[in-house]
Amino acid sequence: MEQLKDEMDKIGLTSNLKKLSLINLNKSFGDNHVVKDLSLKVDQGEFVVLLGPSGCGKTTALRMIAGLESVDSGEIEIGDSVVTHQLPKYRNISMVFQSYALYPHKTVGENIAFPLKVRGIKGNERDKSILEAAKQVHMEGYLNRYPRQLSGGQRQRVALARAIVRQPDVFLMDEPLSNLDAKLRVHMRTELKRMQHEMGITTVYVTHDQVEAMTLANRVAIMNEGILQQIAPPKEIYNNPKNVFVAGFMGSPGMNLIRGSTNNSKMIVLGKEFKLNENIENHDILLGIRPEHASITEKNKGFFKGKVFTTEQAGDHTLINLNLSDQSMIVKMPSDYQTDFDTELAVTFSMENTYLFYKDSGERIEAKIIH
Amino acid sequence: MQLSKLFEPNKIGETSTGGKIVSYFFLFIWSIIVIFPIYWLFITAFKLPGDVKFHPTYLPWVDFTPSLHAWENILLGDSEDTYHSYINSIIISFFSTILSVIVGSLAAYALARIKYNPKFSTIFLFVVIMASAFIVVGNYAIDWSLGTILGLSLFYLLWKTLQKRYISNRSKLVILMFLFLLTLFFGFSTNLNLFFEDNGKIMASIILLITLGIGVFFFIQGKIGNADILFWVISQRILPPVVVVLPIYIMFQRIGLLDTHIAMILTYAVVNLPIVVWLIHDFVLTIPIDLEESAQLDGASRFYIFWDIILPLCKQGLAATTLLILILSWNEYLLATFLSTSKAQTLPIMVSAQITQDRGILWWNMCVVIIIMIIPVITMAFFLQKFITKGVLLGAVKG
Repeated sequence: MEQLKDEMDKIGLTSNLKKLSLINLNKSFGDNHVVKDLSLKVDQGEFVVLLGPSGCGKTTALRMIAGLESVDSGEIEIGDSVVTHQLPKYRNISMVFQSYALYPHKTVGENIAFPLKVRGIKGNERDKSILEAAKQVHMEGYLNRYPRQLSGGQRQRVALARAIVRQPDVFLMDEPLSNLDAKLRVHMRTELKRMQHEMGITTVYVTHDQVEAMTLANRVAIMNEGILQQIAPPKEIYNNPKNVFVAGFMGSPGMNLIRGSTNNSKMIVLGKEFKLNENIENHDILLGIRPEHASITEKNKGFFKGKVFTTEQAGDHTLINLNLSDQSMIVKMPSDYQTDFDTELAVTFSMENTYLFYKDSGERIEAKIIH
Repeated sequence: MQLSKLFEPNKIGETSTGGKIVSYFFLFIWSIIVIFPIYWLFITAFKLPGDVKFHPTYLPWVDFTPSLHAWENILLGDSEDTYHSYINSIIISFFSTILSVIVGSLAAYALARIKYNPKFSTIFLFVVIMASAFIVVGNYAIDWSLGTILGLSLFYLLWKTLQKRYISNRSKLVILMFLFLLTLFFGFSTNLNLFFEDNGKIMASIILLITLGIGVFFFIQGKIGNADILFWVISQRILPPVVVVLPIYIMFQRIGLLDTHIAMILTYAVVNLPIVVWLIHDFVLTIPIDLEESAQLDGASRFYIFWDIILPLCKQGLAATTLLILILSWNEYLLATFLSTSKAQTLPIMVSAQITQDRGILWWNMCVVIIIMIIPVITMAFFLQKFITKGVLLGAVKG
């Protein structure tokens, strides 16, 4: 019995679901402080997406989890053990790279076998695991091909198979879909989500594509300039952004941010006065309105007057770009809506779906517009 | 009109007729220039001394009657010597190539992938201690391998001690002063006819060297990086070998390794090392780092990655480099003249041995030796030509 358990340990069959914690991680490259005090808890089997613009430190954070980058300060825990300064090979992590990192001189089968070969797993057991992993990504018919004979999507699948074949505790993905064409990306996205759900492996996924983040994640962690801005389920991130950065980053197109100011419970935006449910001292603020929460009415009815700058037909909807005196705004309208350049119009929006932010700090103001 | 048409290609991607004529004309001339010496070599090998000495003869059976007399001289009369040199050449070029390719590719990989930051003074200490070990081996009949081991362990112990312990500036000065006084003591002991006699000067120079090493270690802080190391390795090839041949000769003479295979193999390996490092370094750089990181995460060690991923991926470069080094070692003459006399004599030496004091230059014999010497190289180049050019170009274009 004991022997069997050892045997199973060796091939990782007993690997339980493990949680991953990052505690106050810091990393600098020279004077460049890339990751600042990053704390993040990923639950067992959870799918967390690190989202942010390029250079925000998300990839560095991922590489620190993998052990490919040293940690300046802070701690990384997998399960109950601290792995901060452990070598990558002792962390039982597998990673899918943006470039797939398939070994060009090895066949698909040998590529998938590599992690097992390194661990000295041989014979039947190895063949069985390879076939199983290959089946999971529907590549069992290609085991004897070389990576150069495969398409981008197929290479991606092989990289996935290689990552899952040894049943890692944590699964890391660094923009794995960004080298695929748009159609394939959408398809692989769904497959990836299903696969992660079935295997239930704790996953951290890095991307700059907010649609990918929204569709894949249990929780999205948004980063900017090395600082974690907000971590929450996609819906929460969308409906309840913590600051201007998150609000502007999520949604396509992003939230409209219109400059204005407050005076006690009054708010003045584009010359129009609104009443707030809270007193706020004199402050420059930003009024956030999502394009889908605004609509266009006749010239004399809405809140803000504007002129059409351009219209963009996008099939299921139409985007109207408006000039509002010295500011601009995008409004999402049904696809049958038609208008011309320079038409004078007005914008209206539902007041409960607006967001207020301090202009200087970018922090959210909890006050609501009453009328 | 007609003439300008001649230099216009008929189709895109074709060479014009005029262009073909011109280029083939020059290629033909060049071929003659290249092939003629080889032709001359072949016919001279079949000439009798008389056909060589009095006036030039060009065509066998027309100008002169071919004879196997030179071949008899070399293959039958001198058979022992020929056979011996041939085997020596094979052993020395083969093992030196293997050694320099193994060491060179490991070094190239390490320099491409691992960041080094050694202190200049550590390297200086190493050199100084190895030099003192060399003096000891040269002056007292100690076995060279024992001397090397002693030197290495002394370096290791000194380095560890000096590095680990904190030593205040005052104690540093005291240590150096003590060592310096010791140097003076031994230096003057010879003159004063004290107990050490001649040994005093040797001891003094050894202690002076070590004092210098420790002094540099104490007071010089500079560090060097990968680029410096790489440049240093390559700079060994910028230096003409004739500059170092005398020191190398004296070194091997002192430790009693002149005219041995090991001396030749080591020297050739070291001389060719920079080429290996340089070429393979470029090849390693073309391999994406992702592959190695992925393998690292999958649990592979550095050496496993080197063996299972890096080496197969620079197979072509490795093959091209190996062949290049093999040919360089096979043809090497300058170092061989100094380091070998009879036991370790290689083929190039045998070629020059045909220049005799009493009988003049034996051109016919020399040509036979040259032919048997270049046959393996030509065969190899012929079969592996594509491989070599492809390998070298691949590295060049991608690097």
